[in-house]
Amino acid sequence: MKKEKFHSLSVKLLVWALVFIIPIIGLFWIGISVVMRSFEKQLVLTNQQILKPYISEMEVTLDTIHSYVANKEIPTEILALLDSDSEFVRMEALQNLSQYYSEDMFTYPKIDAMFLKTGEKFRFIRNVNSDYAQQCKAAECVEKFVQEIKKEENPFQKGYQKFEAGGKPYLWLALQSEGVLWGCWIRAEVFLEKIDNQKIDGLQGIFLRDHEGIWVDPIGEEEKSFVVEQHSTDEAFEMVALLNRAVVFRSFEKLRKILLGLICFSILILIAYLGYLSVHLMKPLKNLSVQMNRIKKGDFQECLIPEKMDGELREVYETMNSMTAEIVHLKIDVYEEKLREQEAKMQLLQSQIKPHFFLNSLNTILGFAQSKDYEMVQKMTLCLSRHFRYILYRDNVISVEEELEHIKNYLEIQRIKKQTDFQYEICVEEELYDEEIPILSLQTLVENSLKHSLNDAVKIRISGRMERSEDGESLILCVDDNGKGFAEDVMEKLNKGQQVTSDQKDGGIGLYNVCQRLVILYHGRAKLRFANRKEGGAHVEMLFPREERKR
Amino acid sequence: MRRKKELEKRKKISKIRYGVFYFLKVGVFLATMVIGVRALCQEQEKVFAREEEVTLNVMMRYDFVIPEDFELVAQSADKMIEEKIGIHVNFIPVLPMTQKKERAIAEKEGTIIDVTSKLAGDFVYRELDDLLPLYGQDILKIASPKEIENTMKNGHLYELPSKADCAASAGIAFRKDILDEYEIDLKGIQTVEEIDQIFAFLNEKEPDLTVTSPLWTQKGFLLRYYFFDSLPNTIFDISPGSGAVRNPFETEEYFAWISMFRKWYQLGYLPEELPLQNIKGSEMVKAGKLISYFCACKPGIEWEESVSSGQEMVILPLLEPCITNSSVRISPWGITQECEHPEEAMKFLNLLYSDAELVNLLTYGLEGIHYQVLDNGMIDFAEGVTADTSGYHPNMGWSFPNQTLSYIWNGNDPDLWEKTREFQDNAKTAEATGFWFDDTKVSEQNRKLNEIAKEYTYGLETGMLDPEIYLPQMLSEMEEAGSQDVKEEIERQYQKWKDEK
Repeated sequence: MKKEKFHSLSVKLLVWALVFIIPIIGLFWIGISVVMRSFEKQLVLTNQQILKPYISEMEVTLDTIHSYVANKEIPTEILALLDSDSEFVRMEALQNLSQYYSEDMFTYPKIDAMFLKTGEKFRFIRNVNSDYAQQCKAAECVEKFVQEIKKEENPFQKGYQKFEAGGKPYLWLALQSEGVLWGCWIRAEVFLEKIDNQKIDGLQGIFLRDHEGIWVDPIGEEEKSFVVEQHSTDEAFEMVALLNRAVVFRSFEKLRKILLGLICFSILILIAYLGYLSVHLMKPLKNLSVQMNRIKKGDFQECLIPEKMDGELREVYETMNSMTAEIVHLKIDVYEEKLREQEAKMQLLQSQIKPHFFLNSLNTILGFAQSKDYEMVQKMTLCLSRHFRYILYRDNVISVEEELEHIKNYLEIQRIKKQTDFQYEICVEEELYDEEIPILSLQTLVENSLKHSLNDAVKIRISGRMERSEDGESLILCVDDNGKGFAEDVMEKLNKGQQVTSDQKDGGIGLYNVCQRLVILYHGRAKLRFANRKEGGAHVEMLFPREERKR
Repeated sequence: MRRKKELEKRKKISKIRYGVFYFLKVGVFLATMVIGVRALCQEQEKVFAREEEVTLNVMMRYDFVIPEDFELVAQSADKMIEEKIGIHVNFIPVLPMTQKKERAIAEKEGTIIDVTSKLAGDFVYRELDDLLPLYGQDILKIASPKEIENTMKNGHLYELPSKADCAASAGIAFRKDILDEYEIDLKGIQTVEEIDQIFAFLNEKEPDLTVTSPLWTQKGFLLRYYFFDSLPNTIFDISPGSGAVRNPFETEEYFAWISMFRKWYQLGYLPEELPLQNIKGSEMVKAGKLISYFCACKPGIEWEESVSSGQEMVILPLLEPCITNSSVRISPWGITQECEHPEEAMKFLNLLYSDAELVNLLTYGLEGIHYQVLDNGMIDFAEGVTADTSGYHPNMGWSFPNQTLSYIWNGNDPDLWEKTREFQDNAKTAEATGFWFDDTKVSEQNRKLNEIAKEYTYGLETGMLDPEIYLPQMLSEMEEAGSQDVKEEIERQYQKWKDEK
C-alpha cells in the first residue's frame, strides 16, 4: 500500500510543488538575510558617521579647554588683593575674581567649574547651569587631589585625569605656576546630554567607554540592541550608541513583513491550486480508476458524468462509458455466439453419430445378408461407409459437388432402406460445383423434404444458381419437393429462424441447426428461406454470400 | 467573414483610444486650470501678505540657559500670533550675561527690538497712552485703573501693569525639617531681634551648616528693594511716615539692618566669600549647606521655594506686602522708542496680556511635548519628561505681564491666582507709587550717587563691610557727589506730582 501511495499522482504533484517552492522560499530567505546583514553593516557605518561629529566635538571641546587653561593668565594682582587689610578691597577683589572667570564660562559652557588654590585656600567658581550640590561633591574630590600635588609638580603635563564624584564621572585639569594652582573640571556626561534624539533614529542609550570599560553610564534605557561605536582620534575613548533595533530596521521590518506576506500568499495560492487540481483532476481520475475496477470485476454499469466536468475529462468519461457499453455488447454477443457455436458443434457432433440410423442401416445390411443378397449388402455397406465418411468430415465447409454426392448417396441409402422409389433432380451447373457451402446443409434440406413427403412418390428437385445483387454475388441453392409443405405458423417460425422441433430420430440435425450454423459462419448474411410451392410442397432456399465465405 | 471581424475590432480599438485621449486632454486642461488658479490665489495672498504683515522683534529674557526647544516654541508662538492678529514675531532669546552682547549685535545689524521686557536690557520705552485705547482694549479691560495708576510714571504709562507679582514683601525661607527638629515655631516672630535669636540657636546646633543667606549671593539682601519704598532710578526714597524725600542710607533702620548683617557675617552665619560664587539660596539648601535664606513673599512662594530647594520650606514673612514703584516693575514690558510699528507692537502686547494660549506656550512650552494638562486643571510634565529632560522648562512665568493667565503647576495651590489677587488687593500701596523721578536736570549727580551706592551697598548689606567705617564713608561720598541737589530736585518734582494728583 505504501509503495502505491508513493506512486500516486497527487502525492507526486505535491512533492514536486514543494520541491520547487521550498528552494525558492529558501533562496528568498537567504537573500533577505544577506541583504539584512549588509544593511546592518551599512547602518553601522551611517550611524558611526552620525556619532562622528559628536565625538569630534567632544575632542575639540577638550582641546579648546586644554589650551584655555594653558593660556589663561593667572590673576595675580587680584589674588594679591584678596589678602588686603581693607575689607572693601577684599570684597572688590572677590567680585573681580568672580567676574574674571565667570565670563569665560559662557565661552566654554562645558566647563563645570574652575578652581584656584592659593596657599592653603581652595576656591572654586561654578558654572551656574550645573547642579550646585553635585558641584560641591566634585569640589571636595578635586580639593583632595589638589592638596596632594607638590609645589614642584606641574599637573598640566598629566593632562586630563578622570575621577568620580557623587557617582558621576568627571575630568579635571590643573596647571601650577607662580605658586598658584588653578584649573577646571568637566562633567563627562555633558558631552552626551545634548545629543539630538531626532537625528539618531531609535536612540535608546548612549555612553562613553574607555580602555577600562564603561566610563560614562548609558544615558537612556539599557536595552541592548543595535550597537554603534565610534572611536576618538587618539583612541582614548569611544562613544557607543544603543539603538532600538525595531526602529532602525523599521523599513526593513516592513520589507520582511511584505516578504512573509508574499510567502504566505504563495503558499495559499499553492494550496488553492492543489485543491483545484484535486477536485478537478484527481477526483475524476480516481473515480475513473474506481469505475475501471468495477468493470474489471464485472460490474458494467455506466457511470454518471457530473455536470461540472471539464472538457477533456468529460471526453474521457464518455469514451469510457461507450467502451463499457461496447464491452458489454461484445461480451454478450461474443458469449452468445460462442455458445451457439458450441451448441451447433455439439449438435453436429452428436448428430454425426446417430445410433438409430446406424443400427437401422446395419439391420438392413443384416437383412440383406440373411437373404443372401450379397450385392445389396455390398452396395449398402459401400453407401453406408461413404455416408459415414462424409458425416465425419471435420471441416465446416465443403464443396457443392461433394455435398451433392453425399446427398445422392444418402438418397440411395434411403431408397434401399425404405424400398421406396423416389425421384430426384439435380439442376446445379457445373460451374458452381467448386463453390463452398456448409457441410450437411443442403442435405438437411433434402432430409426435411423426405420427412415431410406426402406419399411414396417423392420428387425432389435441387437447383442452384449464382445471383448478382447490390451487395455482391451470392450462391443460391434451392430444394423443391412435392410434399406436405409447411404449415403457416411453422413456416413463419422457420423464416424467423426459430427452432420448430428437435427431431433428430431419422439422422437429420434439423433445420434449426442449419440456421444456427449459417448465422455463425456467415454472420447472418446467409439466408434461409422457406416457402410453399404453388403446386404444393416446400421450397427452401439457401443464400450464401460469396464474399463472406469462411474457410 | 474574417475581414469584417477585423474591421470591427479595429473600429472598437480606435474608439477606445479616442475616448482615452479625450479624457486625458480634458484632465490635463482641468489640472492646469486648477493649478493656475491656485497659483494666482497664492500670489494674491502673498501680495496682500507683503502689504499687511509686519514682523516684530521681541527680546525674551531667560535665566541660566536658553531652552533647547526655544526655536520650536518661538515658531509655534509666531504661527499662533499670526493666526490671531496677523503679525509675525521674531523672538530673540537672551541671558543675563549675553544681554549686552545681543544688543550690540542687533544694533550692528540694524535690527530694531520692538517689544521687550526690561529684564532683557536697559531699554527706553515709548508712551502707551495713545495706543492703549485703540489697540490695547483687552489690557484696559483686564488691568484695574489702580494697577495702571501704580505703573504710571508721572501720569503716563510706559509699561504694562503687572497682574501678578506686583506687591513686594520679604520673608525668610527656613528648612522645615530643621525647624521641626528643634521645635521652632515661626508664628509671631516679628522683630529682627527674634530672628537673630533663632539664628544664634541654629548656628550653635548646626555648626556645619550655614545659617542664612541672601537669595542671590551676588546680589546681597537688597534692602533698598525690599525694605524701602525706593524710587527705582535713584538712591532716595519716600519716607513712609512723613512722606518726605529722604536718603534711606541715612536712616536708623538701615543702620540697624546692616549692623545685624554685620553681626551675622562676623559670627559666620552667612556663606563664605559671597561675591565669588553666583549661587541661589535654594540651591545651597538643596546641596545641604544652608538652613535659611531671604526671599520674596507672595502667595505660592512656599511651594516655589520648596520645589527649588528640593525640600519643604516654611516662609517667615518680614514685611507687610506693599506695592511700590519697584515692586510693580519686576518685569516691565513695553514698546521701545525705536519701534517703527507701534500699532502692531501694541496689538502684540495686547495679545500677550489677554491670551492664555500664548502665555502658556511661552511659559510652559507645547502641550503634549513639554507639559500635559491633568484632570484637576493643573499641569505637570508631559509623559516621560522630567525637569532634566524637558526641552522647555525655563521657569520664567513671572516675567510675563499677566501671569495669571497661565496654568498652575501641579502641587501648587490651585487657587493661586485668586490668592495673588487678594494679596495684591490687600497690599498697601506706597505713597510714591506712580511717581517717577525725571533726573535729566541732575543726571550727572544722580548717576554718581547710584554708582556709589552700588559700590558700597553690596558689601554693607552682606556684612562684609564694617558699617561703622564704610557707611559714613559712603554717605560722605554721596554728599560730595551732589546728593543734596538731587534730593531737592526730587522734592520739587514729588511735590508737583502730589499736587497734580
